[in-house]
Amino acid sequence: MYGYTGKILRVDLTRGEVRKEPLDGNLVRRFLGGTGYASWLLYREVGPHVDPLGPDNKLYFFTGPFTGTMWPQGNRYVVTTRSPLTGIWGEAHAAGHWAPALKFAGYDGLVVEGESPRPVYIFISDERVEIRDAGHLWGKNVHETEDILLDAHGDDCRVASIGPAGENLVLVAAIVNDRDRVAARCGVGAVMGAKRLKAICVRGTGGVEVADRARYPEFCRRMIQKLLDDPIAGTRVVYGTAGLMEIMSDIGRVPTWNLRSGVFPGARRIGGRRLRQEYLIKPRADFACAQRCGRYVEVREGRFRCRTGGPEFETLAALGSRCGVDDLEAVIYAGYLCNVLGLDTIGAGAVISWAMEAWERGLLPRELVGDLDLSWGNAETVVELTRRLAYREGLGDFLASGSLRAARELGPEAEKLVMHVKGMEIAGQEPRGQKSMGLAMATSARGADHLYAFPVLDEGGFDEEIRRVYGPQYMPEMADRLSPVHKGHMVYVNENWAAVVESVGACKYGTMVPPTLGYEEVAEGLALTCGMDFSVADLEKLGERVVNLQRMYNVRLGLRRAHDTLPERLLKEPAPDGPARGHVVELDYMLDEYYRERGWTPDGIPTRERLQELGLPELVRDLEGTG
Amino acid sequence: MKVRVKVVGPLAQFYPAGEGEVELPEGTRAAQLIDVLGLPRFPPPVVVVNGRQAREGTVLQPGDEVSLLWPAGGG
Ligand code: SF4
Repeated sequence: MYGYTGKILRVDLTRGEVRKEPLDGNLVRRFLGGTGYASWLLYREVGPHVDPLGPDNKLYFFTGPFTGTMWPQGNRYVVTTRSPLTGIWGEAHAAGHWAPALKFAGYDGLVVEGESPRPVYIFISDERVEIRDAGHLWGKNVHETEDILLDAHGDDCRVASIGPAGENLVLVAAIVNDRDRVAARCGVGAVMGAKRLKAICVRGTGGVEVADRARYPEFCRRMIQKLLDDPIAGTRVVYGTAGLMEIMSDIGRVPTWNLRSGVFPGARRIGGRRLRQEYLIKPRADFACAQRCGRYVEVREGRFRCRTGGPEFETLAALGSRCGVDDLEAVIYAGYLCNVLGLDTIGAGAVISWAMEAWERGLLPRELVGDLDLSWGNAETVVELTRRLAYREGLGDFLASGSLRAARELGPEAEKLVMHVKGMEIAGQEPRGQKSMGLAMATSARGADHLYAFPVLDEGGFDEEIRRVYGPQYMPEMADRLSPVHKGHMVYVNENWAAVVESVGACKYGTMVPPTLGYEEVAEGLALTCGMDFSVADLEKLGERVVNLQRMYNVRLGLRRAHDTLPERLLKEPAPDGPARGHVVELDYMLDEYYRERGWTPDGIPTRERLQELGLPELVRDLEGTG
Repeated sequence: MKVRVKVVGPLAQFYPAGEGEVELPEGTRAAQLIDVLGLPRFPPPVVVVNGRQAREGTVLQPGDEVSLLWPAGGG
């Protein structure tokens, strides 16, 4: 099997058993790999009655056919599970080098099942797979864990692990690989913690065979050159994603003070220019990446001294603007704490900013807050509360199950302040300043999520790309981020394409923004890498199939249109300042168009016919009782 | 006529003042500001007039607030 290793590893931690099973060729044809293949397995194996933190939930670490190849940025894995944060379909993604290592060891995917009675880690060295005692690792942070494992097994290994946050079942806990690359969202780290699985240490000495050896290198060179020739992709290395902070504030879409506003007066102080001038050590590349958006930074002195990967724009927004913090060293340090303690920076910043607003409004009792000063912009508090969150100390314990659960204990006024969809906190986007993002967050299968559709081409400057990707008939409204017109179509197209990107194991930078490599390039890549013949139409349908599969996972749990919604603040309170001043998100208008495009009912449920057409006949019976 | 300009984010490295007021002849198109301010054309800057992206042929009016920035491209 070219492009694939042809094998999946199953590790049952209850029984202490390791099994290897062949990759199913029919499923590859239907779902490719990555999010598609993993979601299918989750649908079949993890039903509606499974407790996300119980032994019957599973973790599906899946690569795609491009992972570990020379395809530009072919480095990703997904980890799919039933999310303990939201209770619905859950997934997180990460780049780095761990996923290629898993493939080089001979596995397209790793399924972790059951629950170990004591802490363990999985050690994989090609054919050899062992479940080992992790008593000495439990309680250690992510960097310590990696150091100990690399000392023990050799530094040609790659490690994915959880920190104290995952061990303590914090529902915004992440899985971290290669020290600072993070599969962050949906509380995947807590699922690993519940299984008492501390780490997965992989050595892979094999490779990935491609179908057309003669033409493959030239093809990849051409793809890489295409990216480097693009003005956005080719210059991403200079500022990384941090360069977005000032721009996003200027266009009124950076979450500020728990999304009260989309404009942050301190944007320049925590922006990409300052980060580059004062703290950058060097840019960092993930496996097979020429864009190098990653950063290594260092705070050289003072109480926030640290050396770390990042911070990304998302981290700057979550722990900075969202909490009103304009002290860049504190934000870098809080981001560093998230990486070593194994927290999602977005989730951490979101729960802290919710607590700050609840405190300001007198909804958070003093006895919960303890000695902390929760005023907006208090950098010390953000750092300290990040730490307490991971260790479940004091207010950190109260917040550890996410802001929605915490708010529900305090009542409806506090709940109104939770900036979430389906229980997951909104990321670094203020959708009143970009309507497509509002819709994208509402429809995403994992709850508030900017990446599921990643509709970013309306942020400004992409008119030509919009004409090319969607067609000239959608201009100029689609390019206007404050207009809701055509955004249903935009999100529909993007979700399908993103599902393809996540199924082949590629990065969204270069495939979605800028949209330099598209369906045609992926089809050609699949032919040369795997010897598989997919037309553009086949791939479009495949992406749509994956989105419908994930939707059906949630429909089976009872989700409907009513759940595809946004916090009242974004629907009813006009944005107070900046270019989006006076705007709310016109969600119903966009949702109607979106459901029409999808061929779903007005209540947001896939129809029997649509599921049949998309090649998901097995799911039809799960429509029973959906009205 | 006078307009207020602001060069935002990484692009501001080419316009160290960051912001200010510029005197322009009547009828100046938004896109011409890129050359007036001496900004590089690669990557092509986005010109935002009063919060909305300017298009081909958008003509500036006295008192307009104009931001110039690189395409955002992410988030
Ligand atoms: S563009 Fe950034 S996130 Fe994507 S592979 Fe490269 S370094 Fe990683």
